[in-house]
Amino acid sequence: MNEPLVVVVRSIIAFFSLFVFTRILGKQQISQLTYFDYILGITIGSIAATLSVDLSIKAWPQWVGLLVWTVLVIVMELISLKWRYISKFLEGEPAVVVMNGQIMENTLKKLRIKVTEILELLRSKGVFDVGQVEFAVLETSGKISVQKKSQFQPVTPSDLNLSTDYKGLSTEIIYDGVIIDNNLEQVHLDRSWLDKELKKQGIDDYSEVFLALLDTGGSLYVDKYKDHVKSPTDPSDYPGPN
Amino acid sequence: MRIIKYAIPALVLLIFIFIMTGGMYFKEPLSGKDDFARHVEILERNLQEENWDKAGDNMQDLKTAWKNVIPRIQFSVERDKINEINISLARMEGAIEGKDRGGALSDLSEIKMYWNSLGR
Repeated sequence: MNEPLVVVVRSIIAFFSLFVFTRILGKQQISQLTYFDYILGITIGSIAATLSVDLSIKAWPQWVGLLVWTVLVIVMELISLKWRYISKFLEGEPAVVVMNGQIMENTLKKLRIKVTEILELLRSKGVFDVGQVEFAVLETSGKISVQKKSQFQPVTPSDLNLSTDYKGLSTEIIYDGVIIDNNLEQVHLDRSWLDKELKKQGIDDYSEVFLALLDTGGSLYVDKYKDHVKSPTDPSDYPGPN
Repeated sequence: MRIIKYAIPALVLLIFIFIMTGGMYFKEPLSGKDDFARHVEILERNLQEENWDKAGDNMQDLKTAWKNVIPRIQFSVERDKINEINISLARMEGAIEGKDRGGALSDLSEIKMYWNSLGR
């Protein structure tokens, strides 16, 4: 048995299998991973490493192990997407660690987190004085979200009594070349108004329109199928499948 | 483009699966020289009839056949399985040299068992 050659072949198998499986698993970022996701990642990596160099076990059962762990991760992701209750059980819930400037010791104890770690996380958010914090929430990803007390928050137009225009949700008027009459009715407008608005933008037929949105200010945003951008910016820096 | 995106990874995985599970097929003989199972049968007959000279020749043929099979099956079987057959072959060679019928037959039986489970 040519052991180095077998290791080379098995490493190629492990490497590309892992590559394909992680592509299937999605584009979740490392920072978005929960602790359980992190452990799963380590386990899958460990199985791949064993598949690569442990010649005392056949490659096939180890590859099956790799596949099963990947499938389980996908199944768990799908389950937690569909059922909120199970998602809560699997991923946990955010916890309030600071409230009204006071550190919640019992919560920290329950989460088994040191107060110094919380202070470190707060500092990373630009908070050096716990007294300024109204709420600090430890998210399931291990990141902290901070709401400062109102007197320590940045000034907004309303603080200065400045009037601003109302900005609500836009209404879809045309989608994929089809007018959504229900939405048009909801905003008390009709097709003749829409025709006029489209003509103003140089559009004769609504079938040219991919998306038309009416904002709360009354202006119509139109995106045509035919884009005027001759060479759209491509973030890819090398030819190949995206 | 979309087909390539999915077809190439699928094809690569299928090739991997074939390499990892093909031990059962890869151990089958490609010529008379590497027909391990046939050499085992002939050797067993000669051992039972105590034709020691012929058994010695068969032993060499069996070792040659095994050496030819190893490179084909090494990616789909465990290293220990290959080592076990190597050890049994070495022990049986000694038994044949010492004209120990019982010992040689028991080693051969062990080799048959390992061979049959190879790649399964």
